[in-house]
Amino acid sequence: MITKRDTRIPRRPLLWLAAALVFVLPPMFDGLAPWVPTLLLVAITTKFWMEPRGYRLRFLPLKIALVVGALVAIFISYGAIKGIEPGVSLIIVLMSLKIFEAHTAREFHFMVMLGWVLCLCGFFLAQDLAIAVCIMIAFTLLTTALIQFYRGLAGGRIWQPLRAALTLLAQAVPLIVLFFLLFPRVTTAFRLLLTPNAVSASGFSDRLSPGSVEAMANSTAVAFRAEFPDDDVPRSIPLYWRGLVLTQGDGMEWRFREMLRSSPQFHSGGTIRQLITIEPHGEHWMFALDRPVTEPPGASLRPGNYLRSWQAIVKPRRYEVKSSLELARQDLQPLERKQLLEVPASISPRIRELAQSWSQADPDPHAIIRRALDFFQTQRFRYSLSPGEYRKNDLDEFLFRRRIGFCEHYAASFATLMRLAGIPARVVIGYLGGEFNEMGHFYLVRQSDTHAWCEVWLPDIGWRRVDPTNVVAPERVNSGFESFLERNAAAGEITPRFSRTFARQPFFAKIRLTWQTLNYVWDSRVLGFDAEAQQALTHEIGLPDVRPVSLLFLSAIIAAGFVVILATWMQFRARVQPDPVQGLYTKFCAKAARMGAPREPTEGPANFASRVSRVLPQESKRIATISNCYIGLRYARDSDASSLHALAREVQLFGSWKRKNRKSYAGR
Amino acid sequence: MNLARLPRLRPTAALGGLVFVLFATWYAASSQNNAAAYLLFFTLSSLFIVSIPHALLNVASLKATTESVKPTFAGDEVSLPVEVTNQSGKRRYGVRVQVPDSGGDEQAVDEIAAGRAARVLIRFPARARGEYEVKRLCLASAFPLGILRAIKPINCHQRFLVYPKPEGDPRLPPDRARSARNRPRTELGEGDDFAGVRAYEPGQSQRQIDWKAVARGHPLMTKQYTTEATGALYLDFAAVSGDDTEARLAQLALWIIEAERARRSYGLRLRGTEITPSLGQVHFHRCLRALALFK
Amino acid sequence: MKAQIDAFTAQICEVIVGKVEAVKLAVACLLARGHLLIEDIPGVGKTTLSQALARSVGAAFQRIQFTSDLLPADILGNSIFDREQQRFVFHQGPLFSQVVLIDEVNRATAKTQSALLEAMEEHHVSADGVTYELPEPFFVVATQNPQHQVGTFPLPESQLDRFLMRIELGVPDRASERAMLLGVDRREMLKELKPVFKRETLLEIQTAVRKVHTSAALLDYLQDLLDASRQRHSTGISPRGGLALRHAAQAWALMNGREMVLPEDIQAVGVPVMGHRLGHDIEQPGQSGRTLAEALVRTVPVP
Repeated sequence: MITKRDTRIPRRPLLWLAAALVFVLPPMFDGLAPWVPTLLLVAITTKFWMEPRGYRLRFLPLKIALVVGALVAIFISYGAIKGIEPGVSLIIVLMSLKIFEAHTAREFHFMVMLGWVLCLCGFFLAQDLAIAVCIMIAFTLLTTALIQFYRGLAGGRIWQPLRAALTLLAQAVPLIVLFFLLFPRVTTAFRLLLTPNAVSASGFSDRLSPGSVEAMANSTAVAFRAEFPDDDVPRSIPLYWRGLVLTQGDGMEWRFREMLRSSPQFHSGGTIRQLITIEPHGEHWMFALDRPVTEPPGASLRPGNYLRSWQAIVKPRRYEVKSSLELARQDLQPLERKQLLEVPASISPRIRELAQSWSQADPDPHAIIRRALDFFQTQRFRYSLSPGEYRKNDLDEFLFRRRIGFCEHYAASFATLMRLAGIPARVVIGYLGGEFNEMGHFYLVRQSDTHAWCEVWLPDIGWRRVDPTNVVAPERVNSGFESFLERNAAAGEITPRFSRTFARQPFFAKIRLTWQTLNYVWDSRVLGFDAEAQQALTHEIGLPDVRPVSLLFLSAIIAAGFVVILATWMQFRARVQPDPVQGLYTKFCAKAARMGAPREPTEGPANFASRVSRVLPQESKRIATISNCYIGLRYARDSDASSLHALAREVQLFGSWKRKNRKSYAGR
Repeated sequence: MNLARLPRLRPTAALGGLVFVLFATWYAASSQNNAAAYLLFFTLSSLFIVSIPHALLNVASLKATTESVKPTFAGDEVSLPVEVTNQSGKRRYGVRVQVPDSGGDEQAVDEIAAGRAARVLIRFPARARGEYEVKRLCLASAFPLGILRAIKPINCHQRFLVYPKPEGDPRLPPDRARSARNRPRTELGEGDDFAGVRAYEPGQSQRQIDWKAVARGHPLMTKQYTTEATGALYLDFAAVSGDDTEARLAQLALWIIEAERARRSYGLRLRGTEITPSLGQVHFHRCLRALALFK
Repeated sequence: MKAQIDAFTAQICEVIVGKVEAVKLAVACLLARGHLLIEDIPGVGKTTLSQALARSVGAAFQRIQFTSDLLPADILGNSIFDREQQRFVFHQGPLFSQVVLIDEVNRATAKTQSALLEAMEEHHVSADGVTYELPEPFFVVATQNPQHQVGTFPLPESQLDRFLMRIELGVPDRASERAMLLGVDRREMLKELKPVFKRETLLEIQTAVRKVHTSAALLDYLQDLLDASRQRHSTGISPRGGLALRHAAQAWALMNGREMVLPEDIQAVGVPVMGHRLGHDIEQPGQSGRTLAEALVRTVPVP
């Protein structure tokens, strides 16, 4: 009888699939309601219990009820059904239910495809290198599952499918690179603007309120990475990364306000070129070394000399910008000057008196600044990460009573004092310092490097940076925030973070350095490679203004060529190695055939030798040697290498008498 | 590489799924300008492209040879032994062998090492009596990704016979044509002529035990007799009742089986053919062959 | 060893004039520990050949004429009740000999034939629950009349391959026949035959035969033959037949003084070894097994 094949999913492919799904999970746990990935995990685990017993989800109303239940649960979890998180959750829930239900070969393939979609979803939730590695592992395992499934039902060796998958992926790498560089990055007309909520949660805001910088100080998340392609890294000076300029002072709180000036300040002197790869923060600001003078594509240089992106930054972006350390002096418009001297009415008389006492003593702005800095230096101000809580109007409290604060407090109070003393001032927020990566030659700037400082306008120079924090805690400015924290930790002020001290070990430091470099490469070269970068590349390789269709054709032609080469190479690798003995004997037979004694296909070597000897009696000795060597090599128990040489030589010489004869005929 | 000899590639249903996933990934990548999603899109499409030569070469160097098929009765199954040889220097995987349009199942060969061969038995139903030929075999494999199925058709000329389905009355017809030429044969067993005594072995008929000897105090012994075997039997197509040729052939087939089972010499008369009485496998198949090819 | 075998063959050839090839095959069969089936019309020297073989080895010889009333017990032996000992005593039959000539094997009934073939295969006889070993060497030469003769029971096809070889002697050529007509009476010659070597020497040679090397390349050729037989014929050569082919070829190689088997050896013994194993092909009822085997040897290429 014709038996029906067992259509149940074999165990091995299922195992690979399960392993793949486990690697899809990390980004899911990061950005989704925890019950969603947990459900997937439960489904995978249960499947291994269900499949050998033949259990599965069969009852249709139950299936419908489960889907409806899942939709409701998603709505409850996110409060919406549209958007990226609910969408991804829905796919995961459907995948989980499919796992419960699937039981045939075709459905297995469907599950693998859902796995691919989950990989895609993972990239929507997060794109950093760690997640990418996870997803690439998941992708490899999905491929392995497919190969294991289609190589036949019997298991075979365990690691073979994984090896096959890795081989396939390795052979695909040139194509991936080709497509990545040349495949046209067109922007679809209808844009789905899905902004993950998670992105905007980090980074700083357009106001400097008491405690806002403090909140970021403990975050080790990467803000951006900067490279100095001309290798003119300014080692001697502290690196102030300019982010945003705040002009509206309100005591301890400073806010952003559009400045009136229509054009930015012009620079004088040399510039420093930087390549900055910014992590997505969901807002518009961009960073550059103090102060940027050129506009990167897709951004503009605003009055106050800071950069602003036209679009919110929701994915890693790489841009080139030039900064100048010195700026040409520029006059202030009266209206502008007025704006830059505005102070809130709530300032207490005591503060006003303090500021006026400085300006009355010596109206020279330089002297006023010196006095103000002296004030901070001599009045036992302390720098601390946990200064306690200040409110908006607590300027008095800070300046005269607690005298303990953070960079934001010093910047805010100093700028307010300057304005009270009649000097136009503003607060700049950005980052200070950064960790230099020896391996990748780039600066890594973290959220914890956030800093706030002041700028004052001096009639003879123009805008000048003044950092009051420098006076209070010079080590913060000169050696970076990390080391400052450490010193404080040693003093017992901050509890040391185990991971941080651990990461200081040389071996782990090396790993960390490598990982940072890889991260940087991933962010700058892979994630930062967009349509503009592609255009720059095509320009560079000599294909200016190439149309997307031509690019598509070009990559298709190269891909086709690559596949043909690959196939030829594989065919070459798979060929059967010819046996040298047999090869020589075939040559001998061919020679004999040319001399009128072709070998019958069924003729044994001994019979053939005696027949050839009869046909060619002149060569009978050589024929006997050849035949004996061949028989010895091919049929005897053990043969020595010398007879192979003898065979080769004799076969070479075989037939030479005829050539000699011909020569002698020709000579005659 | 001989292009003409390359296997054909057929998309499977999974290709539709792949195209959908690819499109979804591309759309998502381009609308979000998400480089990571683009990377996934490129990886997936490159993987697919690279899998094409793998799928092709997996079956390109396979050779299949059929071995002769034992005749079967209509309604039973034909078993076609096929040897699949891997002529390349690489291991090959997940090969399925089938006979197109035979109504039979395909047989899987999971793995063939380099230079080795694997044997499979393809079974398909034998429908009606007659002589058939398997003209084509198909080697197919969805390895490695199951998205494309590489199919290599292989020509063969394997003939096989299907005997009529044995049906009807199992009782043999009365022995009408005892041939004078046939000498009477003797067979040991039941009969009248005493042939000797042997030691009793459990299971032998108790009637043959030499009870007299037992009475004399000897152990159990059995008496051996021989008898003259019945003469040859002619199975005649014309003598089978009924109008339906197939039914009559079926009856003859059944009788041939029964006669062979009873070790009775039998001959066969069909229109235009006569097979002289004999016994044995060669004779048995010769008779059934005549029935199968009867027109 | 080759000299001994040559002397042995030469002695038999003196008796059987003009049949060198057949004699050599018979010797090969003996050396390969196989059994021989000679199929031909009466009077061509079947009996003489087997007697000559037996005498030249110096082994115990028995001749059994098969008839239709022969019972298995008649060849294997009988348990006869011994009144004095009050129990059955097994009396060994004529099969308990080193060289056994079975004349007209197809005259006996299937039962007797089966008993013989079983004993040949197993090398022992079972009676009343006791196993009796047959002597070493044990060499059966069976002769058979062509099948179409009246009053014969063809040997069961499935058991034919218990014989290593089936050979035909055929009528001698004119010169040989004349020599025979003029020469001494064959029976006289047989009586005068002296053993060429002892029983132990024969056993030694038989052991040496199994040690003759068969290389991978040769086995490729052998398997090609087997595969071809299976592809072309409904009942191809069985694995046991393949082993038989190997053993026969080894014996042939040793007789030619070689330490390894060549494709030529397989071709030389191919037809007698494979012929009777292919003889019952239902697809080609008209063709004798010999023709089919010849076709195989002629068409399967040596790799």
